[in-house]
Amino acid sequence: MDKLLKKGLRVFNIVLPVLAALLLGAIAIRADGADPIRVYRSILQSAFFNLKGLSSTLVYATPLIMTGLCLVIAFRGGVFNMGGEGQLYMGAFFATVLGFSVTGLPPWLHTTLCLLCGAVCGALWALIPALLKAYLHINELVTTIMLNYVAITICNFLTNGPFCYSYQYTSTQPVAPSAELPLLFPGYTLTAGIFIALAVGVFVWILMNRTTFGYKVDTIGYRQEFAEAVGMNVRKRTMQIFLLSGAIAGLAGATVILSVYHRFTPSFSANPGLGWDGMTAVMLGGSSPVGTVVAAVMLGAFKFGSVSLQVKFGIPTEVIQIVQSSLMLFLSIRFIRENSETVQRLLAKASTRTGKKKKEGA
Amino acid sequence: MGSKIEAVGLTKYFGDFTAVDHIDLAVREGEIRALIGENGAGKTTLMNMLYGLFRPDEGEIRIDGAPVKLSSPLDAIAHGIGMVHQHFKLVPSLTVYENLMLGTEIERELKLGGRTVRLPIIDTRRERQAVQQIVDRFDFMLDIDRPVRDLSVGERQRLEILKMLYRNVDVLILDEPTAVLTPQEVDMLIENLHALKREGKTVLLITHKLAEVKSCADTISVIRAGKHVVTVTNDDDATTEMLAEKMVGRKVADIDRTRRFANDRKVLYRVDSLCAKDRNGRQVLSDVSLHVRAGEIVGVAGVEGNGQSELIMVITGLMKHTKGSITVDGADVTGVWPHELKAHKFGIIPEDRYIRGLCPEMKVSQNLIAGFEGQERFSRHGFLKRKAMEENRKEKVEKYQVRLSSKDPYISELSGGNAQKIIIARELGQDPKVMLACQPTRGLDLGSTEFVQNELLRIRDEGKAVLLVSSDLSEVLALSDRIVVMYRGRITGHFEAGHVTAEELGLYMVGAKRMEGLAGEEGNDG
Amino acid sequence: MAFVLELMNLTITMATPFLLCVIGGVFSDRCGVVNFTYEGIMTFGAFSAILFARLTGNVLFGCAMAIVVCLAVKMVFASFVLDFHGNAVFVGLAINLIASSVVPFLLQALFGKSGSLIATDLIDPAKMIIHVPLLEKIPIIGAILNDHTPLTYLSFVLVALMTVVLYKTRFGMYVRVCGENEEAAEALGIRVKAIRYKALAISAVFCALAGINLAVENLGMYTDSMVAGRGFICLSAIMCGRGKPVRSTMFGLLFGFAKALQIRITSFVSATTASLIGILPYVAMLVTLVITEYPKVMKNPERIERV
Repeated sequence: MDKLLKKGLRVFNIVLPVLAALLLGAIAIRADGADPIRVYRSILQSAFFNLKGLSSTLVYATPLIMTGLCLVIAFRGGVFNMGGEGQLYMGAFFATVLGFSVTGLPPWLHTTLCLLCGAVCGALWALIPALLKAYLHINELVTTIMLNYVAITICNFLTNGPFCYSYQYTSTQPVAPSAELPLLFPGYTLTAGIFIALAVGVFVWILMNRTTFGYKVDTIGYRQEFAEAVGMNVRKRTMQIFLLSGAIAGLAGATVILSVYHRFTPSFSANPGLGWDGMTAVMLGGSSPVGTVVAAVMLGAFKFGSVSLQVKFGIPTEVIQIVQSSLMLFLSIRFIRENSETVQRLLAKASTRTGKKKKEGA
Repeated sequence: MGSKIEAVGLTKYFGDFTAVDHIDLAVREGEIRALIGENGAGKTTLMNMLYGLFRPDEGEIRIDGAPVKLSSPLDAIAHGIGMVHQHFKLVPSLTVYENLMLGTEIERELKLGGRTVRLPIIDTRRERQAVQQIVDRFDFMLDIDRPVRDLSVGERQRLEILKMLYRNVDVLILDEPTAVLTPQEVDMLIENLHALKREGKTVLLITHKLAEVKSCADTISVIRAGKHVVTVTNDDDATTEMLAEKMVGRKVADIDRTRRFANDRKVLYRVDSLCAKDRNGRQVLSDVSLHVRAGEIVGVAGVEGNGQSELIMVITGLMKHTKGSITVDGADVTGVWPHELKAHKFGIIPEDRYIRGLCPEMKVSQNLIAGFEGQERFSRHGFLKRKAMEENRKEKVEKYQVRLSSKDPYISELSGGNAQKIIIARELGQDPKVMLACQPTRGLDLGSTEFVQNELLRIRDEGKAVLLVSSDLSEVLALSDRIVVMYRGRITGHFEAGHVTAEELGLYMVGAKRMEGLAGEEGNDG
Repeated sequence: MAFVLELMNLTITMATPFLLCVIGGVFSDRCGVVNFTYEGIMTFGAFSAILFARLTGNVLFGCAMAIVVCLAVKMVFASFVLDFHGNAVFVGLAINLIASSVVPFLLQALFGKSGSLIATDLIDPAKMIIHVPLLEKIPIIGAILNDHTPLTYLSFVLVALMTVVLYKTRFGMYVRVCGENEEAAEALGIRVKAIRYKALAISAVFCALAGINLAVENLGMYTDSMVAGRGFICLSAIMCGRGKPVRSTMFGLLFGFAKALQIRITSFVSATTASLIGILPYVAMLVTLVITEYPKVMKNPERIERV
């Protein structure tokens, strides 16, 4: 009974913020002269209730799953890696470079190399805040956010400068066809990228729940003093967590380029950015790998469903960002805390009731 | 004569648990009343109600016969009730006078013609005057301009008491005031309390230390399991044995121990002229040398903050040393990492149970493998053996009689005693040669204390070397075969247990006495 | 020489939003709330100043409304953190994201524009500059300190004033106590939550001023990339300065210098390279963090460093 109530509470604490955020979004939509119910229904319909939509939803979800998972590891290890955005850019850019500069490789090899390159570059970009945190105790929140600006500026510069391809449109050369991730079904946009995302999901789940590494990550995340006192090398682990997290973000960037854009354009990670979307997914998924994947798919659906809002209803797509950012705001508090007095009273009542039943039964 | 403060049928529930159960208590004006009981007996909850921190569920509080509702500590202070907590509530960076005036600052006034204008600037001159006045009035020794971070524990306590007196309280509640004081500081505190009594103040003393109760209280109330057991006048009839029995509800067995002077046994642990500096470059350990032989307990006594914590940090591999060496059974372990210490069979019961000892957010089974997760018994190729973890939990819980509310609860759901048992189970699981026990019974109830102490004696009898660091002098005296005293980062005395009194140790602990030529320690190497 | 003087003059101009935001931020830092909202609040401040100026045609009213809006948003942050016990980091980041979604939405919904809102017809940035003839006569210092906007001059006064408030007044002492030992404050009846609300309000007002300086005084318009990480730079200035007002504002000046240097170098190189120079303030900030933290770590005797 206790457990059920607690579980219910957890669900409630996720559903309520979602509702609150949708309500805020509805107000904005209303203010702009559209009917919120119709807008939301249209989002749902286009995202889920037809194969094309479902395929696009998964395409949108693919990078979110990965940027979410990159934060699952980071958050559970007590590392506030807010630099997913920058790591994503770095991964995406250099995967693209490898994608167009090398030709003549068999597709599987070329794709794999590009993806690896993305992961490595993401990890390397994460190395800066990782070193600063592990060796100089510099708060990674600030450094990673700042490095996002730096990464985006650098990628912008490289795209406009050394790797400039077209003067009308800010982008690099397209990658060689051998580097592209293959489409799964002809006529649908879904690519093999989704399998990469899911594979990362399985990997993270096993890592976090079944291995000594995951055990150490959790321990460090909960209590560093304890972890170091029992002999875990906190500094080394922190570095590993950071690099792994950065690698996943970089991989997300590479995947997105190789499956959707096929060339690097600085605007590929639109406002608020795939890294931040990942954070919403993690908060919605409660730092668990499975929850995060589910939340990322939901968010992907929402994002895809809202693409056509401007055309259909004449409301700015920013409405969706309002919903998303207020969702994050509401998720950051727990509407009902497990140890609040009301809940305690409810728990007490529940236990006496079951107790009575037992007595009656006996 | 009427009661100054009175509790009538006072009751407090926490969920299903009745922390305080219809307690009636009446304290006369100008008396020193001791409230004794085990940890968890409900004394602190009772006092927190009298101080307005908790609202009673039933019953009422009367002051001078009139019922009052106390909704906050401030409210209590306004009604003349002040409390000094076990953990002081002071701001380290502020000076003594700033701390004392906190909340009642005096602001500068400006005379403009006939009118006085108050400026929003604090008037330090007048504040210092006011504070000096009250320090002098009660004759408390305190330098009002020193920042609190530089004060000793005793001085901080005096400041806390003064803080209450400045706010004109008539009733002063002290929660475990002597827990961290040296015997000399305790004497000073008792003197101060008598001075307060002479001024007509009423003092309520919460403690479980019977000796001090006997030496200063007028009357003694015993609380057990949330209920008031008895109130007696402090006379010859109220013997400590009788009080202890009332407190625990049964006869208390003295710890059964025979002292060992194992001069012939092998030295299993040796610390040799260890030095260390803190982050400000201050020398916190100077030439600390000690050794522990197989089958003996060596106790490190000292007032908290005299280098014991740093000593623990250095010998557990958490802090750098600047000089010296450490060996476990002949093997050099100077400056090794904590996980390497484990390989040398060095067990640790850390000082702060829920920070370095356990992870409250994790489960019992997970805590039981912490630090050993890489060993073959718990993992293979980096994958955890979940079955082995389960079996390990079952075995340890049974062996150490840990009481759990469910199969594998979170540590945060365990009582202090059971939590400590988890640490002991984990650390003994590797069959250590040397065991470092830091404040092993702090905050535990009598039953758990007994268990932990007996466990330490048992492993000593098994031939392990035990190094005990405790600020509880009576514990050091009760358990150790040999005792060393630390003062200002140095070992200032070493004694064989049974050949030294608490008072004598106290003099070493405050630096009034010291042995000369201790740098190398007595040279009876094994 | 002229280059150096111009650079120093520009440093002062560029440092103004940093100084304002930092001196206000010191209060929220010292009161013990992790405050990540500078970026978002500053954006709200810059946008609403222009927005209300645009809507009403009155620039002063716009500025006043900027302060009101910033206060309102900050109070949302405060109540989520202080009343609902949300994780301050996440609430703060959420506020930043809200700023970056609400502002473009309003631009789109109200004006059908994206990216910027121009009000140069109402505001002439050139007229904002105060020329002090007296300063002209002093060599070097005159060239550096002359020809700035009102808020720039005000910011120096405010830094001094707020330092006094923090260290000499009752409120300032309470702010410091709340950050250092909440329990001690509560035990003596100091209403910690109220103090924190007030401290956060101060920080909001100063963030609004910083936003006004950026949008109204310097440009006469709002653009989406206007704040561009300035809030986070302020945060690191406060971190480098350990929450001490004078020290933190010194770091604010330093970052202002980096920003000015960036702008000055830009005029010597091609447009593409110039865009790369944009990383200069951030790099300066990282280097400064390393320089300020390194000695602290070296002195730390703990071997395994908690991170």
